Amino acid sequence: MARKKVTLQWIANDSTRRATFKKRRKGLMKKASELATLCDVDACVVVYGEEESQPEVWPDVAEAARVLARFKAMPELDQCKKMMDMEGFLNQRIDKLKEQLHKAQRENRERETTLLLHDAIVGRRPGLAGLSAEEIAGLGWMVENRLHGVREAIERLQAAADKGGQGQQFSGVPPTSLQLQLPYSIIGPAGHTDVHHQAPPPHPHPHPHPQGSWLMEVAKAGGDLGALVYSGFGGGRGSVGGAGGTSTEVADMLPHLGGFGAGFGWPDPGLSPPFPPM
Amino acid sequence: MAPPRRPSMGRQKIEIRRIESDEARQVCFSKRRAGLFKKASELSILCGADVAAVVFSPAGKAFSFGHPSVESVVDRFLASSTPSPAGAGAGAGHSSAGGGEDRAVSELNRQHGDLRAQLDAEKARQERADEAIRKEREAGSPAMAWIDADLGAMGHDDLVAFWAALAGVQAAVAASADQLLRDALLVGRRGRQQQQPAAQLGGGGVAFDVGAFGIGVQVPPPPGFAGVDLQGFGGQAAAILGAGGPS
Repeated sequence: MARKKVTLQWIANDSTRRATFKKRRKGLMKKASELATLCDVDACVVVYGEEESQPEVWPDVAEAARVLARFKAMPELDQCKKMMDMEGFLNQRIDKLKEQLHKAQRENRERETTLLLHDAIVGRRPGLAGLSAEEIAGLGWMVENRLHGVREAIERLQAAADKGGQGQQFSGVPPTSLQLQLPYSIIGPAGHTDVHHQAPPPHPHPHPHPQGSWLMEVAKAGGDLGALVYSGFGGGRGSVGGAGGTSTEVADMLPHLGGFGAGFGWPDPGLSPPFPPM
Repeated sequence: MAPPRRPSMGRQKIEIRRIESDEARQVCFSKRRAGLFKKASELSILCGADVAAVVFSPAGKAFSFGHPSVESVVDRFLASSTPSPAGAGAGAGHSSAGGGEDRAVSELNRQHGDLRAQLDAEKARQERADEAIRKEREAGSPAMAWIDADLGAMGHDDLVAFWAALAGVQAAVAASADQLLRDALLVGRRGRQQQQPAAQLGGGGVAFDVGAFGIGVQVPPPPGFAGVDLQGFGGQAAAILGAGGPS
């Protein structure tokens, strides 16, 4: 049942070519027959083999002549509007294939980045060694998007818990989580304000972001990555930026990012020891 | 004739009979017309045959495919179907030598083959990635469960743990990006390739960059120093990345 994929080029071997011609010609006629029957339409196919003066015709000579006469009777424009030759047909198929190829490449990149994210989380890639700039950029964007989603989910849960009543929440929270609750409650109002304030500028939501400029954002420490990584010294970096004559916009952003990051950053040392066992 | 209907709605044999529904008939026409033209084009390519296929849609529009062209094959056929001996002779005279393939068509065929091969490679890549993902799921990896999960359905503890894990990866990404930029700066600055810049050389480069940007060099804590590096690398990295773009 297995067959080799057919190379689409003229078959040089005479006998093979002739056999293929007979087989495929019959198949073509069958296809035309099915189309005409299923859709109740006029159709005809004319095939001249090499060195043949008499064509093979579907359905038959008289009927084909009638169909072609109908075709010829149409205005020239209507005839040519839907007419295709080999080049046109091949160009159409090439465009279709290109589109499919790009789509497949995009999906595969996302899948592989998901695998990278998983490997990074379970610690299989210490220091992300051996990754290309593109892979790191893609991974960075995926992490940022996921963090955004997780933050929103946590805030929703917290809002729901607040509505339920403070006492209930505290009684239900285990000791480990209780420790984690304090930082959130401390920065709750400020954090909320920061999120709203920062939402438009630092998170361009169109996902297909040029990866080169993402690296630029990391380098300038304007994005979340910089803020979160160096959040403990947000204030210090702000002053350094000012001293260096950095642009006003960046200088203004740094304190906000630092403040926001500080709230989330401080628990990090405490978080890492207990959670791996969980 | 039709086999019993399977639970899945996959590919099924159909009866070759007029389709009653207008919409279904139109859809069938579009699909099968494309298939017919594809078969006709393959026959032409493989066997050097001259082919013309003409179909009228249920709405009465004409669709046609032909090689070398619809007109040439149709005219040849109509001429030869006339019973006059002169017509038959003319038809025979116009018979193509066969085998001679248009150069443009050959090039398009080659492109088509290349694209198909690339698409096959992408599909193989997809299967490998899916297999790897499936393995992690079956191994019961909590990290994969987090990645797959609907965030709205996750509990607070899971969300916090996932957040911590993501923050760790984010830190690693930032460190790697920083290292890549340093390497790029060293390459650009020294005008030659270096596999692993020595720590001392790297330090020298950093100090020079900081000085170039007019920031007083003091001895701040490591994170603060890294922050300064990021500031300083901004302009240089832009130049290097910009230069890298065209090449």
